[in-house]
Formats: sequence, structure tokens, C-alpha cells
Amino acid sequence: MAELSATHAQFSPGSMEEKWYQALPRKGAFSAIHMPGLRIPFQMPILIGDILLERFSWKQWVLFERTDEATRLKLEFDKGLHTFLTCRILTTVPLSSALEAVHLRQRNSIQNLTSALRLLKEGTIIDPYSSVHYIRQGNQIRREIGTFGRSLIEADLSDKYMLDAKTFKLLPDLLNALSESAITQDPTIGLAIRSFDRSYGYSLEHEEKMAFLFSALEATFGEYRKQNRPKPKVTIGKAAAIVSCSAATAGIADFLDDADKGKKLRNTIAHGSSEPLVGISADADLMLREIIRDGLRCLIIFATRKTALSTQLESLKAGLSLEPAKLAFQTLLGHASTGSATALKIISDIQAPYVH
Amino acid sequence: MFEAGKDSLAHSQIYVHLPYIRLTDPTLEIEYESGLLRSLDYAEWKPLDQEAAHSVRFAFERASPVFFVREASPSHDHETARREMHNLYLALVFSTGAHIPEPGKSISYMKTGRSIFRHVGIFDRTAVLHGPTRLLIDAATIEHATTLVPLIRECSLLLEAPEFRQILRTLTSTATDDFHAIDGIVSCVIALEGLLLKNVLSGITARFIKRTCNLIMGSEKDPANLQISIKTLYSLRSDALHGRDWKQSLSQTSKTDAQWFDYATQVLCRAALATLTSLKNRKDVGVALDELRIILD
Repeated sequence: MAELSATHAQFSPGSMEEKWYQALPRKGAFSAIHMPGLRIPFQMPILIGDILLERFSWKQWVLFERTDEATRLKLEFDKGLHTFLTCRILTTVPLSSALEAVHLRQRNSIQNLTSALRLLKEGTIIDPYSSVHYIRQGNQIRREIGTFGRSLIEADLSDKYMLDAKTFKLLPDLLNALSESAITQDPTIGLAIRSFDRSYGYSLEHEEKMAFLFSALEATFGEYRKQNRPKPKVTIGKAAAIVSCSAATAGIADFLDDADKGKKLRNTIAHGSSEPLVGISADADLMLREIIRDGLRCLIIFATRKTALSTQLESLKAGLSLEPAKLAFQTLLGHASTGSATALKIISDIQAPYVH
Repeated sequence: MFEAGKDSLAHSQIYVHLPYIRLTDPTLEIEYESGLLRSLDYAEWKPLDQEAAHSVRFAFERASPVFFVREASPSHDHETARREMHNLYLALVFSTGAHIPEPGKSISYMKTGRSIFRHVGIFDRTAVLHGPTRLLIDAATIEHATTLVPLIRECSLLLEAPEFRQILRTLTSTATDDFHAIDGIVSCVIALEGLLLKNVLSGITARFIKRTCNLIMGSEKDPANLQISIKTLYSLRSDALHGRDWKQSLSQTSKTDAQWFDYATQVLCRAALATLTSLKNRKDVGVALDELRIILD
């Protein structure tokens, strides 16, 4: 799914784009991947760790895109304020052959950035690899076209994600946490993150998104069925409410545990029932995603701090610090729900920066 | 999304793209419903898509996309042609179990005099220019699929039932290039549950295995292992949905997740076909499905 072409850079003398182009490395390559849905508030590039985000003007985009395609989509591009994750590669890369090495180097950063943004607040960000990915070297360009290709440049996405100051401030810590071995080496946490991310699928129907969200819910908080939950056994609603950063914690427990609300919705989705859902809000997916967002973020940070918390965990239950992170987290939620001050303190310390 | 453009071509013709499908031989032309399934020359496609088609000759010729091409007439308009292709698409999926998305996700054109109407799906032009290829077809593939089209037409009422709408949505959704194997397995099993397990509140797993096996046994190549295979599918679905590490369950089988996904799709297709065949004359769809479920116990 790759295209190759050659284009000369043509900018108005003295323009912002010309200065930007002059600053690119003369040797090596420049990579840019479209982040569909993400908006940054100003034209200046944003650096987060080793990640550089840039809002391209149409003239910058033309440097990578086919001229005719860029001309066709000029209006949509200007309207969309498109953000690209860019990377300066100081070595020459083989544009005519597979670019796995270049992709691999970027893939983890791109995936972690996408996950971290989604874990910080609501807003539409579509998988960048389903859009267009460019690599320019000299005047040669290689374009990797994802499943939806340039339609994501044209798409009028609702509820785009604005990278505001608060999110920007919280982003580095969460990005660091996502790249720690406590997360990357734990497949069970990876499954929760993956299901949460998959619920943002561009082409998915509502029921399919809900199926991913309920998978992420149980992968984060433990199984719905109370007898399958770790001791002290509390309902999934109570466990989720204890880590919520919103004020409406009672509403969360009520929604998830009520046999006619969250529980019914989950069973309807998981067993493919076509029974109409009466009395369940149409935006239940947003509520569910918010519940998972708070819980999953807490699980991720807890996993990275688990070793440092071993004394407190042992005081809750002998051997708890030696349990896998997710099981220890779910046990911690049980203790917090039953009023343990130690457990509540651990959770409130983790969640403090994120409380609305 | 609809687009309109102008062109100087005189004939009124309809072109519906079949995403992720190629001809075994690009020169083949296969007759279907007074039209032809064939690859287009770049020169023939370019005027249909004008500026979007400009300078993508290499990608177009490499992808060699297949279109259903037929003359337009007052009784065969753009919508009719798209419906015809949808029926053929269902027949192709049911007969091959291939992971191919419905034509509505890609692009179709209707050329009327100097005007060109385009129906642009979620793939935009990506599937036309870049594939991927999931199914190679020849005259025999279409001939076999065509035998199912009358059944599909006959069952239009049944295909509108929520249970079947979910099956059709699953088949096209899981075929999209960015769908992962484990998610495909979960979706296929959920769609099967929707078909077979209405109002079952206990003993769900056992009932699912029994009803699925009884429904598809007639078309099973390996009946001795059918029960174990269906049980494995349900275990993988439950692991993924309950947030457990499904790779542990997978490691106890001799297949990869991609192979299980293929199998899940085939089981879903066979179950759908068996249900359509068995209930094709019924108008009381809800009652008929309830009766079928009881018979399968």
C-alpha cells in the first residue's frame, strides 16, 4: 500500500514554510504521520519527550502529498487543521524497499501517544496508521496508505481532540508510564489498553464499540460476575466508582451494577441480543468510556509504582505486593471499597492530578 | 457521500467497485445479471473519477480493481445495481467465507450523459487503488456464488431481521483491513449467539455449542472435532470479553488466532446459510427463528 513519487519544494521566499523547510536536515529523511482528529492550538510545533507534533499548513502538506490530490483536498485540509507527528531521521533510508525499521522506531511512540491522549480526556482520535504516513528524502517521497487513506483528511470528524494546556501538562508522565516495562511486559494490562483503543475504531458500529468498551471494563476492573472477582469481593460498579475522578461516583456504581442498566447492556452486547434497550441513555458509551479511562489510567500508574508501594500493599494483605499488577490493583479496589484508609490513600495519590 | 461531476462520455453506465477482490486473470470478463464483472483499464476509469484519478495510474494498474459494469436503464438505476452487487457480495461471502467488505464501503459511479454521480463509501478510493486483495475470483467462483443469489433474494424479509442484520454487519465489519483476528472471533461468536441464543439465561455455553453444532453439522468436514472447535471459539470469545489473556487459551490449540478467525467466519456463514435455507418460506420471521432454536436443542 505504498506510493512513490518525486516533488520539488516550492515556497514563497521568506514564508514561514520556506524557513521551516530550510531547517529540515539536508541529509537523511523526514517522516510525518497524520493524526486524524487531533488538533493542536497553534502553528508552533509541540515537543513532548521525543515526540514532535506539528500542525501543517496546506503548503507544508503539499511537500508530501501528490500535487493533484492536495489540490483536490485543499479546502478540507485548511478547514481540518490537521496535526502530524513528525520525525527527523538523520540517516538515509531505503525508500524503495520496506520501511519496517523506520516504522518500528516510530510505531511504539505513535501508539503510546494515541493511547495516552485517549486516556486523558474524551475526544476523537482515529488510529494514525489507518490514515496516511509520509517519508520524504531529498525530493523523493514515499506514502504509506492506511485502510481509510486520505478519506481521513476529508472526514468531518465530530468531537475532535484539542490538545489543551492541562492535557499537555499531564501527557509526559502518562507517556513515560506507558513505556515502562511494568506495562510493556504485562500482556493483561496490554489487553485492557488495546480494547480501550479499539473502541475508537473509525468504521465501527455503536454495538461494536460497546463490545470493546465492555472488554476493556472487565480487563481493567475484573469480571462482572461478583463470585469471579478477587477478595474482598465488591461489585464491579463499586470498584469502578472508587477510582472515578468525577463527582458522580454513586451514579457510576448504580449504572454498572443495576440489572436493568449497565449489566443488561453488557449482556445484550456480549450475547448479541437484539432486544431493544429501554431506559438506557443513548450516550452510555461516553459514560462507560469515562469510567474505563479513569480506571485504566489508575491501573497503569499503579503498575509502574507497585514495587514502591510494596509495604502498603503488604499491610492490606500478606503477599499482595507479589501478585501480578492487575490482580493486586483489583484487590486494592476491593479494600478501598470496603473503607481501607491505606487503599484509599494509594488511589487518591495516583488520581490527584487527574481529578476534574 | 455523493459527488457529482461532468464528463463528455455519451453512454449511461453503472460501475460498482468490489473491494478486496481481484480476478485470477485481469483480462477475464464474467457475466452477471446482464452486466459484467471485469477490471477497468485506467483510461476507462480516469474520466469517472477525474482529478482523484489523476497520476495514480501505477497504483490503479497494480491493484487491478474489479467492477461490476452494466448499462443503466430506467428500471436499472444506480441503487438497483448497488443492491444487485450487495446480493452477489453476500453470496460470495456465504460461499467462500472470505474476509471481504461490502461494496457500499468503496465507490460506485453512474455515468448519465455528461454527468457522473459517485457514491463514495468509507474507504474513499483507498480500496480501489491499494486493495488489499482477499479473494481471487474466476467464472467458477461467480457461478457457484450465483446459485445462492435466488435464496438471498427470497429471504429479503429474513435478512432484515435484527439477528441477520447483525450477522451481515459482522461479516463486513470484521473484513475491514484494520480488524484484528481476536476481535473478529469475538464479533462472529456474538453474532452467532444473537442468532441462536435468544432468551437463554443459563447454561449458555453448552446451549451455544449444541445449537451451533446441530445447525452446521450437515456442512461440516470434520464432524468428530466440531464440538471441540466450537467450544474453543466460545472460550476465546469469553476470554477476550472478560478481559482475560486469551493468548493462553490460544496456546493450547493447534491453530493461530488468524486461523480461528477464518474458522469463526466460516461457521457464521454456514450457520447463516443453513438458517436461510431452512426458513426461506417463512414470513413470521421472529416465530420461525424461535422455533428453529428449539429444534436445534
